[in-house]
Amino acid sequence: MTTKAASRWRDATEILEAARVAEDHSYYREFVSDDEKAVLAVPQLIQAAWKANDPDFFAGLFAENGSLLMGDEQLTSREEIRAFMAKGFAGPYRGAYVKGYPVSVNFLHPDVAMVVTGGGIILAGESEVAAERHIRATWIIVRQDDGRPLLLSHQSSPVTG
Amino acid sequence: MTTTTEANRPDLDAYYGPFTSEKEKEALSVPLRLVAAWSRNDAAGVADSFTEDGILILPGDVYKKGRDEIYSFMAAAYAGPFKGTGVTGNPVDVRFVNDEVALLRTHGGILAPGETEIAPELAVRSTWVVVKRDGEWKLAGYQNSPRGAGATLRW
Repeated sequence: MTTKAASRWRDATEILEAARVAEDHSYYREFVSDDEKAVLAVPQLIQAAWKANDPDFFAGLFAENGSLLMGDEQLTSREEIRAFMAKGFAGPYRGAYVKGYPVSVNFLHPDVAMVVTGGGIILAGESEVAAERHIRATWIIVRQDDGRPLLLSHQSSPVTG
Repeated sequence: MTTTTEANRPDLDAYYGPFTSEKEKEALSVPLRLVAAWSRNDAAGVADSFTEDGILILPGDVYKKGRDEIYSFMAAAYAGPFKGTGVTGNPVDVRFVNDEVALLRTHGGILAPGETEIAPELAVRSTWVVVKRDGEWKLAGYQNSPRGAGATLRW
């Protein structure tokens, strides 16, 4: 059992500053407790990694054994995620970014959060999420010993597509 | 915890595949219970697989939070388009985050009445977020996504 002091998540503002990502205070909606904001730093970082089309930044947000379901492609390690996104950002996702919003934030354990978001990919030349690309995603976010949140699992499924 | 429950019947060996530790089998009792409840078209049984505030996400704008919402949704499904259906799936990944939280991934889908094979349009990839509450594994989150280009089912 971890003590309360030992299970503290790092501050969201600090997490984002360390990654040189501007904090979007409107992103949090009603999830404004310190711990909720800390885990919601992860989707903000993912959005920043997409915006930068940066596969290393993107993959580094995942745990070593992190998993990502992209469409019908199931990736099961940070390395697979890096390789897949490097190809994607050089190809079909060049210039694409993602936009989303939190729907639910649940702490399953002091060190593990389950977040649900809505949103989707905005391809180069588009200005909003196309109806067929609207997705709902479940994020499992795990606190590291240093308080930093890492993404263990991300799965999305189509809403209208 | 496992005595002579359905979790250690020898005919389940094929289901568990490589996930044969007691811990893994305990966590996999969640999908087994849900499959059993579905085979009875038992909406209450499905809802009871979830934690009180569990979340169900399906392709096609289904987001249900809490046992009550899940119960109503499943009861309507079993009264209508999914009457007589079953569900099946095999584990492809079991990861423990810690002793109280695990992620299971299964490949499976809905079985049309009388069928033993999943039709391509019904094939799914599922993630089960399971948590141990008072000694029992429950579903905190269940999401499925289409598996394969022909997986066109939207709820």
